[in-house]
Amino acid sequence: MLIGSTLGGHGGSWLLLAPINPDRASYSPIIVLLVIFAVVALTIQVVHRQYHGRKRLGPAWDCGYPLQTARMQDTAEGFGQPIRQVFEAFFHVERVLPSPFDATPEYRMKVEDHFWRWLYLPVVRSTEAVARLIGLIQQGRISVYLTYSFFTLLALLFFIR
Amino acid sequence: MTPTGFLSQLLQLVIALLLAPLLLGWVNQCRGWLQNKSAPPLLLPYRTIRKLFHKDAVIAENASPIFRTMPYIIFGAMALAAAIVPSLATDLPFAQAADAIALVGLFALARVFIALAAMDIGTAFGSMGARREMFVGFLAEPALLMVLFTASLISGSTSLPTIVDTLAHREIAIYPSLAFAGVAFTMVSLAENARIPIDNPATHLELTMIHEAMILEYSARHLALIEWASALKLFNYSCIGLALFLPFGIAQGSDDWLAILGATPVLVAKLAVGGFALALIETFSAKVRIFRAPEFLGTAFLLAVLGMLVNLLLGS
Repeated sequence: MLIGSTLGGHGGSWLLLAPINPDRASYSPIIVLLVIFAVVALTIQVVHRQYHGRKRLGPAWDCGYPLQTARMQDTAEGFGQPIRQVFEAFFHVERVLPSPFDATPEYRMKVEDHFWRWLYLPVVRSTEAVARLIGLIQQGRISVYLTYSFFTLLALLFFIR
Repeated sequence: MTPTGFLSQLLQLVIALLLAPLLLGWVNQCRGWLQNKSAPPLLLPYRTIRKLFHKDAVIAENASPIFRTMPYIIFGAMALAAAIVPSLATDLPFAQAADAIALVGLFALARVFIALAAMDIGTAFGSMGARREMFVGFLAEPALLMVLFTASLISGSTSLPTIVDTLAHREIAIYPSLAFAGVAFTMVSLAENARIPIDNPATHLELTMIHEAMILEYSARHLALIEWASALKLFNYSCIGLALFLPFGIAQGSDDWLAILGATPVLVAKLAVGGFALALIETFSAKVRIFRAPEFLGTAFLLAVLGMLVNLLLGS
């Protein structure tokens, strides 16, 4: 049933992605792509024909600041900073900022989910505590295990009798 | 796709391309009057674009091809959006290529490219602008989608022409949900088009810029195309707003040329009123700090969700 029929089966053209009916929702990625390409090509042509395509290469302007080095470039850390700032209330953020007088400045940032701290970590801790209690009877010595078997056997004999 | 339909489509696109700088000029002129300044001439945006086209482009030495193609791509995306939005006629051939959700995606495409190009040179101001633009964009997009969902709940369709047809053909009724959505849409449009209170298009302070900071490295024809594209973006957003909330006077169908030409003065009148309102909003408010933008856009999102809830729970 699924083979050989278009999505939504509206019987229209294969160009159109319409789940129910083109009147309700439709999308045609090919037309969008082609039209954008066509407009781009046409604009380049018209601009270069009608005016000119002259260009000059020069240093980056950057509002007239000449001493720009690659170290001043934005990092992913900086790029996401506003978003992190806004959602700070929803996360547990630890931030270590350098002072201007540090000889070896260091920036550190740790972002944690509140759920991790308040929900998952307690569960982890209690599971670990229980596991540690159980771990007490497992010492990894064959003599201890033989003792366990011996007492189990005694108990069984006691009950069966 | 009939040849007449195609020609009507082309006609709407050309009218949109020609009217967009006029809308920008009108908003600037109104703002000048309202702020007791000597207002710039109405046709100044056209002259700026023409002047810029004549100049030699200066490109930074370390610019990649992304930097040089970006103006063309955002111009193409905005032109396609102008062809899709039912500003003059519904039922145009391209309208089916993208419904309201895909249209939001188209705007997002332009935003991604402009941010990429801003980071391309590696200057501090460019990447700061890109960072802020993405920040504002990711807050504004959900609110915009919510507004569109509210309108599509009423008409049962996310296709803009169907929404317009449905809303324009009902008996005059006030939809409380659309009132909420209208306020939310206005707020989102202000943020998306880099207007006050989120960004100031007339600012000269690099530290407060968002949109302008991203295009600082551009000159000549590239800058002209970017200016034209942002004028088109404002035009598109205005037309989406008019199509959703004032869908009167838009020609039905695409085979009647006279109807399309007749719809043009109505559109111009509506845009004139809308542009004056935009200038009024910009005069009455001040630019907010960048970290107040989430509150502004959060309010817009909340209003849009309220509109949707009013529609779902009260059915109005």
